[in-house]
Amino acid sequence: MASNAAVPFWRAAGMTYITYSNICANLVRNCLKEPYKTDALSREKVHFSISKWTDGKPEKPTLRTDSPEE
Amino acid sequence: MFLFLQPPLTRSHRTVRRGIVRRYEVDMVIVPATTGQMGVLPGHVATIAEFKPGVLSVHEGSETTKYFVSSGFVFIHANSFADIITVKAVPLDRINANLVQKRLVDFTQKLS
Repeated sequence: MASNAAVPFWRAAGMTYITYSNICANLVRNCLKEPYKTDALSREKVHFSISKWTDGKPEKPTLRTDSPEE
Repeated sequence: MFLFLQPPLTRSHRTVRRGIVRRYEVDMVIVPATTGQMGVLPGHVATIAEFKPGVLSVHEGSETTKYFVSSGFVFIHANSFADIITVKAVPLDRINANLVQKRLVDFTQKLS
């Protein structure tokens, strides 16, 4: 059977609701007045280490520091 | 007028950053649903509505507090509880209008 609902525009653009929502939130964060803007942007920074596993063993990890702008 | 006879509308407002920011009784909330501004009063039919970016206003007696919400949902329950869930809800006075204008121009140019 064909689906009943029209595809939402963000799904048609190839993203999930969460990606859409995070993009919206980011746009708002970048339009704030000063102490709030740097607070909000710094709160969203992530810093993490990733390692891929093959044959039950972790490979060398990579460190990433990402801020919300892609 | 019909607010007298109904139980108060309890609204809990959750954002990603703070968990439950507020949970209190209000008279009315106006939310920016994708279908337009929607007024939520006590006794509202149970509804789930998705937001488009817009202004959320909370009315308590004669006071109104307005927030800009980036996106999100409202879940209105049959017992006059409404849950408002957003990633960002900022009081309007924290928004820098110049930045908004500038970014709007930038993005419009990128579109064309």
